[in-house]
Amino acid sequence: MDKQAQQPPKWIDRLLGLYCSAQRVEEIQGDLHELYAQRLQRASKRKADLAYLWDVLKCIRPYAYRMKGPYQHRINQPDMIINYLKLSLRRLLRHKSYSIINITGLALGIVCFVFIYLFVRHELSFDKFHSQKDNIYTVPFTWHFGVTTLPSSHATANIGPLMLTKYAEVEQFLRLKMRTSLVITTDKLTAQEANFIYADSTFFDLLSFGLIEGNPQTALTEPNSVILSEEMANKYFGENWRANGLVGNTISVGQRGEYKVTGVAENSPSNSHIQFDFLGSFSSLREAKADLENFENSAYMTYVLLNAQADPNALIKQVNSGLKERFEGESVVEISLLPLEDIYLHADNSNGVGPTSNIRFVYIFSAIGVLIILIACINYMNLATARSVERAKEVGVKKVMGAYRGQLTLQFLGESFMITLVAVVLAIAAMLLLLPLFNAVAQKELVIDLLRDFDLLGILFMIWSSVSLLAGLYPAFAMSAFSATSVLKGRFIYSNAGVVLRRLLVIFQFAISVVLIVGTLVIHKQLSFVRNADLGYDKDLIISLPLDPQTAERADYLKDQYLRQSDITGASITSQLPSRINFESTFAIKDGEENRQLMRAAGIDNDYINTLGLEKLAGGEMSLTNKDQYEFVINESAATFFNWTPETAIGQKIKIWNSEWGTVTAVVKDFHFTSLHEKIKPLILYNVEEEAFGRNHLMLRVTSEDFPNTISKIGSIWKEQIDHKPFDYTFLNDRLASSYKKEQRLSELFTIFSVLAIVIGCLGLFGLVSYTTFQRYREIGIRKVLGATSFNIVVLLSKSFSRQVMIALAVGIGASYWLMNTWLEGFEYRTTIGWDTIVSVAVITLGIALFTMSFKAIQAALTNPAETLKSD
Amino acid sequence: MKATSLGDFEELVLMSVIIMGDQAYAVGIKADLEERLGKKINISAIHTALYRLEDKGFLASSIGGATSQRGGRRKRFFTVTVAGEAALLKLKHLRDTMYQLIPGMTNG
Repeated sequence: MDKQAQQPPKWIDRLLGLYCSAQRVEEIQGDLHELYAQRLQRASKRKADLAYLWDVLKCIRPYAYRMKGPYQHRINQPDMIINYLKLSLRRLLRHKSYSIINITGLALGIVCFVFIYLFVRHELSFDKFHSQKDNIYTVPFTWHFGVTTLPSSHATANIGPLMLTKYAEVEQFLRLKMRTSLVITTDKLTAQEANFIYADSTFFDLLSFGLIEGNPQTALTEPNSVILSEEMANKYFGENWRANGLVGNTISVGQRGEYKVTGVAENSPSNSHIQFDFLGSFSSLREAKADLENFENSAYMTYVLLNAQADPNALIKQVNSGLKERFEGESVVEISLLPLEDIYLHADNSNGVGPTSNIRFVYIFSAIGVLIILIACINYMNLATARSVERAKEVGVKKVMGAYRGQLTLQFLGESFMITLVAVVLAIAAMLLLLPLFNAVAQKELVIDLLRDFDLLGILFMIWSSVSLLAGLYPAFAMSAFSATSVLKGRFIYSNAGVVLRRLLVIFQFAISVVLIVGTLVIHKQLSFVRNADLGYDKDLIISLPLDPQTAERADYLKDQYLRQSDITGASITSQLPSRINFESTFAIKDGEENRQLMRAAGIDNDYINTLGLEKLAGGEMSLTNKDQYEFVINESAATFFNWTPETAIGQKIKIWNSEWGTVTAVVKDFHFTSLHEKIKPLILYNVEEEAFGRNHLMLRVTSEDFPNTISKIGSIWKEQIDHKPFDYTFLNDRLASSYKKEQRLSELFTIFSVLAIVIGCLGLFGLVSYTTFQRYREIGIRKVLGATSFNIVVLLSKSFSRQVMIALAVGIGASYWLMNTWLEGFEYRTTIGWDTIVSVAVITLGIALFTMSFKAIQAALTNPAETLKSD
Repeated sequence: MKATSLGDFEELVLMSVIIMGDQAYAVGIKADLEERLGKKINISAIHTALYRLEDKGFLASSIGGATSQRGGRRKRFFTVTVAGEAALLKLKHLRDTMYQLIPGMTNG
């Protein structure tokens, strides 16, 4: 047996050395080794090793690690640790600007990171609270009409019942139908409500919303039942409804009559994609009964609960092949199944019952959070290594006194842990202060609960330790590596590697800042492009008043009244505002055989074209003289789609659904009737029916002279004529802007974070410049004595950093050009990044960087050389 | 300080130290006791008992010379102190008196 094999593994020995006091280690280790040797006689080395490890572990007992007698302290005595602390504190206090830069930079970075963490966590938590979430799916439809496909998040009313009866995997279904404007009346109050959802009685079976009062099984069974949210209960019945409960009261719901209150639900959690104020029983929906018969109206958000063994993909195939048999000809519908948890972040189409977001947001912001904290870490690394020269003597002396490298590394690491801790504490204070502001910008209701939010505490701890390690590791190793002899001889030379690394880090830092600035500018540019884009009609100064069926009956009279006012120059009734026309209907043209197409459509009246200021390419006025017949105004794209020129289009026959044939009377130039994300599609405008159906909005074009007066006049005329519905208006412009809410939010958050990134970057740059300047004071003095001008000196001092910033600029612009082009591709109508953006980014970055640098450089250049040289 | 007592296992270790004379150290005692008791004892248990007995003043120890056996590491040898012997005797006396009071065990 060779010698090596007779020894137990070294690492186990080291393990013993870790905990065992120096005083005892020899005898204990001796004993253990003796036993090891004995065991080797009898058993294999592996077994002996294991037994040895076991012995070592068993020896973790007080006798082994406690010190006794006069040598009670280990090598790193508490005195020494106190000394470390004292030194760190003194340094922090002596170099105030350095400490402030370091700590603020880190704290800012941490604040950003934690905010982004909270934001992302909330985004990812959507719909996770439903206990059956793993088995619930929505059933979005995809329509195929010939070559066109039309995805939708909704389904028809009949698909739920159909799936339940035909497929064993489906255990339950739930349909939701959103009503966005209903007037609710109680004794106390009449107001318009936007979040009224009709739901099947299975609502509380499938989804884990809480019910304060009422029976979850039966509350939504009877027709004309309604459940109020807690907030609405307070609003309509006063705060003290709890005393007697609300069940049994009635509320009147628009024209739909009296509904019986059967329950009060907890307010929808902020991380639910379903946000309801009222839940009406599905059985009260009269129109749904007709929809059960056919596949025409896909307007119902449908959910199914599958049993645990079900394979959703197999089910999709089964259902789709079943559906195919029901359809003849070219139009076919297909379903898919989208897991409940994916609706918020992964759905392509808005769900209509609550908020949606996009997983890309989550990725973008997570990346920004990490980048910002990296920038802050780089600051620490750069400043610490740059200043290491000063500490060289300390290291030298300590080494002479017998300090090991490991101990010095630990000391410097400890210092970074301490500084980061201060930054974390500051960051927590700042977070608590800034939270309301952040919530306002991010449109969230995030809370910071440090006592109970263990995830957050965990993240803070993780930030603390990883930032300390990341920022402190390199300086600690670099500084502890100084050779005592050369340092104390005074022959201390910059390590080249350190300088190169520092430069690379500065470049990296600024490149990130540049990317963020370009991002901000491009998003701003695209937003203003979108806002100021020529939509093809005059969108300013148009007010829209929502109509309900009862008001719609009087709409013509109201319109006449309004048109008599001198400051109202146009009025038109329509089924959908031009800010967003998303209703689609099937149309047929007479082209040999009937050719059915699904197209965007809206009902309009005679004055639509003039009120909006659409440009007419062909045709005359619409006339509603023949009220039994449809007349159509189509847009240019529709004409092209049907292979007509504007001129030949006039007089062509079209029909909606299965109605009588109607005539095309005019062709208008293309205008944007959806957000600029989408290409302009073919659009067919038809004369809105006489009856109430489809008369949803009254648009008024007003003059800009005396705005408040005009509004109040419109209001008072409304109140004279309509008594059941409060006066309510929106500007078309605001409606248009709300289509870009996501981009708006992205832009605001981006602005904040890019400003912070550049502030942190500049803090670091400032620290570096002031340090190098400080080091070169004497050189500057001599140069001045020899005749250098102040300008020469500023150039001298900023040259190297300017070069780094320039490189960063080039790298950053390259990266962001690619990134932002990708983002812009999401818009059908988009601006270009353009030279102006690039030039302004260059100017901003260089400007800020130069300003930061010159601050110190000029100060140095103006110093009297006598001051700096007198001490030599 | 309350009167120092002697635990069961400590008593055994103490006796073993006396039996082994001037060669009493942890591994030796472990082997001795394992043989007498017929069961395995972990070394850390022996260590605990030895160091505790030393704390109580029943044992004294000294470092021996280096041997080639254990990588040159020195052994700690234990010897019984007067207090240790006294404590052992006291315990024996107590036991003897009590055994005598148990009928049928007197001539054991």
